[in-house]
Amino acid sequence: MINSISPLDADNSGILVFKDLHKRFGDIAVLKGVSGKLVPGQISAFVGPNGAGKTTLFQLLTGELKPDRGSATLNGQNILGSSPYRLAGRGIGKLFQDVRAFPNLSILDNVIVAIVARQSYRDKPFDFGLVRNGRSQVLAKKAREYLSRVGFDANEEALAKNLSWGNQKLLALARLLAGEFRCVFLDEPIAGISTLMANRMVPLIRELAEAGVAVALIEHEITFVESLANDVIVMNEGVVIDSGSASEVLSHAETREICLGL
Amino acid sequence: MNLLLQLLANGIVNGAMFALLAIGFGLVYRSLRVFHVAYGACFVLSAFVYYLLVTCGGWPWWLAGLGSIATSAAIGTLMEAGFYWPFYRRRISSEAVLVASLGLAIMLENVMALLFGNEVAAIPRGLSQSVTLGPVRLTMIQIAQFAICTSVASAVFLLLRLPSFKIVLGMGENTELVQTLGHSLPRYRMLVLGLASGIAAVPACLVMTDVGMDVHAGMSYLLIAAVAVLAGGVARAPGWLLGAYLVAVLQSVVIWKFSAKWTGLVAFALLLAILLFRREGLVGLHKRKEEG
Repeated sequence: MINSISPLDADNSGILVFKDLHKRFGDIAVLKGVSGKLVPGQISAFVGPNGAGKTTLFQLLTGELKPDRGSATLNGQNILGSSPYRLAGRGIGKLFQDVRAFPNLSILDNVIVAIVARQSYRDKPFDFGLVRNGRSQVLAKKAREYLSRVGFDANEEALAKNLSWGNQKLLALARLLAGEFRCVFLDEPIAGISTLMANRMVPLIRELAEAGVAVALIEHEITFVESLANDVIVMNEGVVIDSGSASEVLSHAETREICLGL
Repeated sequence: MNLLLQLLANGIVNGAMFALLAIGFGLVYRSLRVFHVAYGACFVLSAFVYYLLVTCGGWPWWLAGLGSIATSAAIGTLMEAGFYWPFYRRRISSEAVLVASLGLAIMLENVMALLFGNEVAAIPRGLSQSVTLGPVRLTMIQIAQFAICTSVASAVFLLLRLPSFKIVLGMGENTELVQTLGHSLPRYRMLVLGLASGIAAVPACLVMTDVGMDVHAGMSYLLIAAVAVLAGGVARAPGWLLGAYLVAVLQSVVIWKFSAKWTGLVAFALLLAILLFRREGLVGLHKRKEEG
């Protein structure tokens, strides 16, 4: 029975540990005590029906929302209540569900902005980097490397707003790579893109994990989850109802039926 | 014909000053998405700081100019930290922020009227030397206005090309993404307001040195800056320059056929025409067909 499955054990051995997170929007309790951990080098997939609280959980852990109750630590240090830019400075990155870019900046500049951010917060947190980042050719070269890593083949001087949806996803991934985060949250990375494009993203996400990054992703596409995730956390109505290794969790018939509609 | 050329030359000199005004306004509007109505009051305030430093403090013009720029930049930074940022944090609508900014402008204007009176203030100067270039005669002050404003505008454009300033431009397009990448939004917002206010102080000091200014002039200068940015195209900084020169030249040339009292109408007419026939501005970005 689903109800007999205990929630993910939230010990302190992971890079990012969250315990007993609660969040309400008015009368609606969206999260009712969610716990878990994200481990370096591991891909953890959060699955469940719409309204399960997955995106809200990601928003809490990336600083977009504040929880009503609970704790979350990154290497033992509290991260709840910090603003998104401070969390980014501490190595937490995010790929938004709805593709986001700087539409009127070029593709290259979109990546450069991520590199400048990383350099600013890692080198001198209180420096605007106005002079130090003046060597734009060096930055452009680095940005091209990231674009090349994701297999980007569009004109780098084109405005981001003119890219197709799939290419905007790739651009977002290039920007995420450029940020060199230690822990990344990917909210439905392949939603709305072709199978071909999705297949291009799988090895890139795997590469991130292999480089020691803790990857958390929300995904409804079960084949994508099966091919990528080490761990699966199943959520429904604001609680974790199942968790464990991907092969184990996805073999639970009830989990597949309730959460994945299979 | 000679008169037209003279008016064109005057327009170009004014255009250089309007361009700086537009760059400051455009930076705030483009990157913070704030219609900074108090910008006009800030412009006037920096002119009066310059006036005080020269007439009461006895400072040399260049030092007083630097003092005015620094003061204006500090006021702009404080304006962001103490006024606009609290609105932003509470997710107050842009319309409400615009009205609040108008309130701030009126408050500043009234405070300045109390301090400096309602009369036009100008830096006392003797008859200015002039230079004749064919049919065109320019005073030394006009030449200084053009040279200083063009130099500052060029420096600002070089600054905008720095990678760090791409964040400033990106900030207006996707604030959340800027933060998620690790950029401190409060710091960059303060930087923009401080820079914009500092830039506005340059033409303010030059106007004060030339024709002078009264404390109620802010709104008309704000209008010029806003029209230049909206007509030129919000998305591209070169458009702000084009808009500024266009407003200035049209204002100047209208005297040729009509009367000086019609110059104020020019800005409105230009804005209406651009909004009706080319809403993305003169140097607007081309959109994908599906964007409409």
